This record gives sequence, C-alpha cells and structure tokens, in this order.
Amino acid sequence: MSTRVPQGVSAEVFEDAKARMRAVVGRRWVIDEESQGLASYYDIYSPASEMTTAPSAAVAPANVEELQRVVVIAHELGIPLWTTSAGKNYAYGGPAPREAGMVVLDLKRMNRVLEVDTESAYAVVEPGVSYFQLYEHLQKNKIPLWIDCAAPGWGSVLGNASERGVGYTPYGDHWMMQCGLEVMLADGTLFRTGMGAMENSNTWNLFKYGYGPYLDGIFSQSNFGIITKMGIWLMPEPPGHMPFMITLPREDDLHMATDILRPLKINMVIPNGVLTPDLIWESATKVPRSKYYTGKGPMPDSARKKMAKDLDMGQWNVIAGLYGPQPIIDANWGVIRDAFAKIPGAKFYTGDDRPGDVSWEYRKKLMRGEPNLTEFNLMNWVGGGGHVNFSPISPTTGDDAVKQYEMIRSRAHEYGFDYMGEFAVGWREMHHIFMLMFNRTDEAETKRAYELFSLLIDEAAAEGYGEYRTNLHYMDHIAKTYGYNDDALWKLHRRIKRALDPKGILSPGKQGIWPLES
Amino acid sequence: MVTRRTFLQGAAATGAGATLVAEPTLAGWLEAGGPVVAVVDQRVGSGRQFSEALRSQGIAALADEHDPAIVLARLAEEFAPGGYTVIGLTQMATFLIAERTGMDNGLNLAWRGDHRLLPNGQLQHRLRGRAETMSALALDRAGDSWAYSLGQHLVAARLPGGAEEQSITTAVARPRQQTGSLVSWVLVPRA
Ligand SMILES: Cc1cc2nc3c(=O)[nH]c(=O)nc-3n(C[C@H](O)[C@H](O)[C@H](O)COP(=O)(O)OP(=O)(O)OC[C@H]3O[C@@H](n4cnc5c(N)ncnc54)[C@H](O)[C@@H]3O)c2cc1C
Repeated sequence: MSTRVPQGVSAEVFEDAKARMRAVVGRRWVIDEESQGLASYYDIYSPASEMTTAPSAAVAPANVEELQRVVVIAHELGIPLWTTSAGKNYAYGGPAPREAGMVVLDLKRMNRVLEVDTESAYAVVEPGVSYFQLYEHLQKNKIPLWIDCAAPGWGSVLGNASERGVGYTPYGDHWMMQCGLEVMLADGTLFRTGMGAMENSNTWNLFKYGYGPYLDGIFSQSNFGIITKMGIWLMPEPPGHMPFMITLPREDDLHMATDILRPLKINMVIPNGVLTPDLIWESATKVPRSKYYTGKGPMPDSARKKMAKDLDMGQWNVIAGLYGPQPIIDANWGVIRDAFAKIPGAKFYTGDDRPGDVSWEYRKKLMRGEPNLTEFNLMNWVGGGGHVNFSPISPTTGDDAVKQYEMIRSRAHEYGFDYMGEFAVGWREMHHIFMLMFNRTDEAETKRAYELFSLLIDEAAAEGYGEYRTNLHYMDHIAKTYGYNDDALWKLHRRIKRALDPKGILSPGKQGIWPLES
Repeated sequence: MVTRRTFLQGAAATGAGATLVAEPTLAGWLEAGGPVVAVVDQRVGSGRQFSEALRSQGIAALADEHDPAIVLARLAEEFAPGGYTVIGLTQMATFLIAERTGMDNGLNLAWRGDHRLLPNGQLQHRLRGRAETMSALALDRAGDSWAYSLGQHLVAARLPGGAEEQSITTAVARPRQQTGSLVSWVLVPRA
C-alpha cells in the first residue's frame, strides 16, 4: 500500500481509486510509489525540496473515453487530479502537482495529430503532441507550414499554449493562435468551444469566437477543465525570411533599444516576438561561467567584458526576424537599421553571419519554427541544475525596461546570483524573463534562491509589475498581488471553480485558485 | 553469468530503493548482450579521457553536441525504448534531458556523480553510491586523469542500492583541461 495519499483521502479509498483506474487504463498506466517511475513526475529543479510537490500517483489514459472514465472515478471518490500534457513545464514546476499527494493526470499518451489543413493552415492536436512531433509530421508529409515552438522542443503544443507560452515566429503568441477547444469538466462532461459547438461545424478551427460568450480564455492557466483537443493556426512557409541580431555594447543601451523597438513592433515592421537577451543569457548556451570566473557571487565587470569581447556579444542583443517577399524584407530592414544605427557601437548581423555561433544558430531555428533543445544549455552556466523563471510583464518603454532590469539585477547580485535575463517584446508589452540559476545540490544556495524569488514578487508588485505565469511554489503569492478591489478577480475565479468543479478535483491550487476558499 | 533478467531485476530494485536482487554492473549488462551506449562531452579533455576509458572496454560513445536533442534522437533511433543502458559524462543540460527522457522511456537513474569546479579552483566530486564503489574509483588520487579512472571503474562498479547509498565529497586540484562542471550518470532499464 502506498504511504503517500492525496490530502483528505483515506488509504483505502485511494487504493480503491487506483484499482478502478487500473481497470480503465491498464496496470502499467497507473504509476504509484510501489511501481517504478513515479520519480519522473518529481520537480527536481525548483528552489524547494521535490518532496513538497511529490505526487502520490500518476494516471495516463490513452484517449478521451479512458480519460472520461478516470475523471468520473476521481469525481466520485474525491481524488485531486493535476493535469499535464507533455509535462515538461520546467522553470515553472515540470510535471509535479501544486501539492504533495495529488495524482498527476498525465495526457502524454493522447498524442495524435488529428488533422492538418494545408489550405487554411491549421492543425488539431491532442494534449501529448510535442513540438518535435508536429514538426516531424509536417516534414514527413511535406506540408509547407511552420510550427511555432517554445525554446524547448520537447514541450507540448497544447500544454504550452494553455499556459499562454511564447515562441519566436510571427505566430509566437500561442494562445492567440489557438482556435477551438474540446474540454472535459470535472464531472466528465465534454464540450467544444466556439464554432465547434455545432454538430456539423466546418469552421471550428477557423473562427475563434462562435456565438454567445467566448469561453476559451477561462481554460488557460486554469483548473476549470481539462483541454482534450485544440486547434492551432500554423504559419504558411513564407517566400523569404531574414533573421537578424543587433549587438549593443553598453548596459544602458537597453533604454534606447526598447524605445526604438516599441513603434517597430506596434506598426508590425518587426512581425515576430523580438528578444533582447543580456550578455549572460546569450553567452551561457556557449560557455560555462567558470571559463571566465570561478569566484563566489555575481560575475564581476572585468570578466563580463572579457567574455563579451571573446564571444563578440553585446551587453544586450536584439534578436528578431523579417518574413515575406524579398523587397518587403529589404525595405523593413532599412528602417530597422536606420533606427538602431543611432545607438553608438551597434553591430548588425543577419542570416549566415556569425558561423559557429551556437546561440545564434538555435535562435535562427526557433525563428523559423525548428524545434530543438539547445537553450537548455543555460543550465551549464552554473551547472547545479536548479532554475526558476521570474517573469514580470512590463510596458515596452526604455524607462520600464531599465527599472525592471536594475531592480532585479541589484537584488540578484545582493543574493549572490548573476542576472541572466531577456525581454520578449510582444504586441504592446514585454515579458521580462529572469532565469534564476542556482546550484540545487547546495542547500543554502537553494534557500537563497527561494527567498530572492519571493522578494522579487513583492518588489515588482509594489511598482505595478505582475508576473504572466509562475512556478508551483509561488502561485498563491502571485495571485495575491492581483488583488484589485478586495481580491475581486480571484473571488470570481473561485466562484467559477465552485460552479464547475464543486468537489475541487481538478488541479487544486493552480494559479492560486483553491476550490473551497471563499 | 548475469542474465538480462537478473540484471533488470537488480537494476529495478536499485531504482525503487528496495533490497538488491542482483548486483547490476555495466560489465554484467554487456556480458548479457544488452547494448550499452555512452554519451560524452568530448569538447573537454575530461570527456575525451572518459571516452577513451570506455572505448578500451568496448563501449562506443556518442558525442554530446550543442543541441542535446540531437544525441537523444540518435539514441531513440538506435535502440528500442527501455532496452539499453546509457552511461554519460556530460554537462548539466544533457544530463537533465537524458534523465527525464530516460524516465519517460522506462529507464532509471542508477548513478550520479557531480564533478563541480569550486570558487577556490578545486574540482569537487560529489558521488552517491556504495562506499566500496567510491573508494575503488579513487578519484581523490586520480588528479588530472580522474575521468579516465571514473570511466574504467564505473563499468565494473556495482550500481548503488537503497539503504547502502552514501554521499562522498572529495576535492582535488582543478584539472588542466576542464573549464565547466560535469555530471557522470548511468541510466538502466526498469524491470
Ligand atoms: C531553458 C528553458 C527555456 C524555456 N523557454 C520557453 C519558451 O521559449 N517559451 C515558453 O513558453 N516557455 C519556455 N519555457 C518554460 C516551459 O519549459 C515550456 O513552456 C514548456 O513548453 C511547458 O511544458 P509543456 O509544454 O510540456 O506543458 P505541460 O507541462 O504539459 O503543461 C503545463 C501546465 O499547463 C496546464 N495544462 C497542461 N495540459 C493541460 C490540459 N490538457 N488541460 C488543462 N490544463 C493543462 C497544467 O497546469 C500544466 O502544469 C522554458 C523553460 C526552460 C527551462
């Protein structure tokens, strides 16, 4: 009998639930402490012990019918299910649940590419379809459509979109490019959103809004339902493409670069998500920190300067792409060059420039939708495995960029960590991603990382900055920073939760939405 | 002779932290006809040494490249899921990805050693395993050729098992040819 059980569930009920689930999905696909492999659901990267979020079991249905039967059993017996798709949500908690003892509902076996419409340029996928898989499907079938992937290609098209994750082609806002969901509720009810609610719809994946209230959004970053299918728009292979990088020599160039980027983005001169990674982020996929500095605390300026010179990197590096017919690319590139030439010392690179530069190679791949795992090499910087992303949203202004950068960098340095960050410019705002790298085999360092992250949440909130997404351990904390008018929004979330999932079995605590709180 | 079955049972017990049924070793697995493959960061001197030690024992190494996905895709192509054992000396990223992918494909982590460069310029070996395995490795005396020694001994070593696991930390002078920290690891099939 397992020693770990979901909170509030007796050992007998839990054994009964597992036995009944095994009868549905097969012995092998209910994994608990007694079987092998439960450790693959542990979060071994966050700044807290993996035991604080270790599941009691995982159940992996193969299709919607099995899923429905599993959900009905969980509903009847009050078993909390934590939904994952590919379960590669690293930097934010991986496949682990919010709380120890919950059961991971692992949908990676539901991994069919159900449809690709070459003419209207979309695909319909199940939760377990990874970026690698969808890419290979298109390649194998010679379909001239691009995917847009997050940096780690092993992630799930659906899981990442449901987290409102980002990619690097013009289709980089994944939730925006989602069109048409199939969702299961906590009692097993299955429905389709938008046009998919018609019995014989032929536009489910073409028109997002359908008729009546538009519901898709409430199933993203949420625990109101389980998404079982999703339509995703794919970008037709463009007639031309030109990736570019502009290196900027000084730290304070961030200000001017951001102000230059805002109109270029808003006017769609640059169509994809522009990135402005700092020196360390852009170098860390190429060299370990110890090549330049083995001392304690943040890397000193002298070492930074040497690294920038050796690797020919800027203190900031603007990375983006242009797409379309060549004359349009040429015209837009002229506008961009003129704008950035105002920054003294800016250097311009395109396409095949910088041969052998590993980070430039993977950036180029991502900007044409080729999945890879090169960015994981960021873990080699410190080499201790620990990482967690602090991801506040910022207006696209030089003042805000510099304010956030200085705020985070000075705290990171105070706690003994390097600042490794990038700004991803979207339609009107920037996602600022600070990747906090720490040596997880060092307990004191791990504790410091945990504390630093908490402090950053409060300090950012005090300045009006909120995070777009977060790690399991900070979901409640961040939810509290969205407290306008006496927590009105989170109170509403809880009301919806109680209405849709009164027993609170689906992903309890996701984004700070706990079922039974008022 | 160690059969594939006893090896798998032993390795399985290791993963679950239960009493060992057999004493799985990579040499035993090789003897049982099970494929063993190595993934090694050959961009650094220690990696090249490790590869050499494995090669002398009949184990070929795939070169870990900048994109860890490439080596993993090759592994997936060459061997049926779960039917092989993988030994590695890589940087952290490749280890993390191999370990997670291995777990998804029926493998368990049976060995992990962290070989970290310390702020004072020393190299620290932090190993989890049986005391006798670790003293056989003699990394504290191996100095600059620690990776060769590790490669040689790890193949014959009994993989760690449950209660007898220990953690040993030794620090030695920084090897001349190494700039980054490395991780040694072994993934074995679950029963
Ligand atoms: C080095 C590095 C680089 C990264 N780069 C990026 C990047 O470029 N862009 C980016 O967006 N992220 C990035 N990440 C974060 C993360 O790894 C990815 O977002 C990854 O795609 C998430 O994992 P997944 O797709 O397997 O989602 P999953 O782990 O399957 O799901 C994530 C979460 O979504 C919810 N969910 C999943 N499936 C369902 C469902 N069917 N129904 C309802 N809810 C569901 C659950 O709450 C789950 O915990 C990066 C992380 C690292 C470490």
